[in-house]
Amino acid sequence: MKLAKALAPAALLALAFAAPARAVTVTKVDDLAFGAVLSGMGGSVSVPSSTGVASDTGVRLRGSQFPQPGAASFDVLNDTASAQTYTLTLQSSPTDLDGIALSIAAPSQGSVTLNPGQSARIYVGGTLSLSGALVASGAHAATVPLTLLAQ
Amino acid sequence: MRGIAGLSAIAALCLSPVPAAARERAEAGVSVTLVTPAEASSAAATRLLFSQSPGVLTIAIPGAGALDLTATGVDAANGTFTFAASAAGAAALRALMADLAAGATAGTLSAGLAVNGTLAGQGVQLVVLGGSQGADGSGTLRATITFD
Repeated sequence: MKLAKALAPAALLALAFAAPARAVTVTKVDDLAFGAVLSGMGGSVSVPSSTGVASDTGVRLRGSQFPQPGAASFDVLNDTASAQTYTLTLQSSPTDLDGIALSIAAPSQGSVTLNPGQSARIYVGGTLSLSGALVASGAHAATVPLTLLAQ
Repeated sequence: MRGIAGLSAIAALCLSPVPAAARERAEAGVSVTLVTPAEASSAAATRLLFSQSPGVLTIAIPGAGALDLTATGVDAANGTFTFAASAAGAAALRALMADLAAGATAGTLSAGLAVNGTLAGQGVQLVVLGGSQGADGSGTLRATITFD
């Protein structure tokens, strides 16, 4: 019995260390979208790593009937009880979108310092470069994943 | 006894998982919608255009930027209308025309309407393939444009 009582504080200590708080949570908010572009014209569409407006060289279709471009966004949350600094990198950065040259821009922040429970929204844009080749008739969408890593 | 407790505490510390550097990732998609007009020609001089707002057409031109045109005097049923344009740069010509005729701001444009004119001194023929515009300003217009 005495031994058990003596071990109890150690067991509690062990439990405390055995269950570390989840340190950081990264959640995808929005996908990276380049909107609608006219095939066969060539050119590019660039979406900034921010909430800013996309730019293009005349190939993007702007009508309300078309999907609109926008940066991917992620929420990074500090789940610990102390302030933390996280380094943000793109672990997956695709270079091809259904045969179209794709360049993913750097995240809006390379690192972020967050207080306990605090979160930050990180944006990732990119540039899509189209050749002048006509592709199969009709409208279609292609999707590839990109991954933001916080550590 | 204290020695045992102390040892167990040390053991607990050693055996407990040490939190590794926090790592977490999330995945987002990347997407684009390609619109390939069925009537588009592979010839460099002939391309398709799409409207973007009532009476305003954006034309993609090989080797140049976008053109914003506002048509005037449209007779959807027949007839050629004229349009003028002013160059706004070597890379992107922008031509502005007067407002659409009242009768063409809503309703449907007739397919087959062909118009001729010039843009920055270049001969242009535009053939409406079809389209519609609603009273709220939404809608589309599809046409071919040929530069000679």
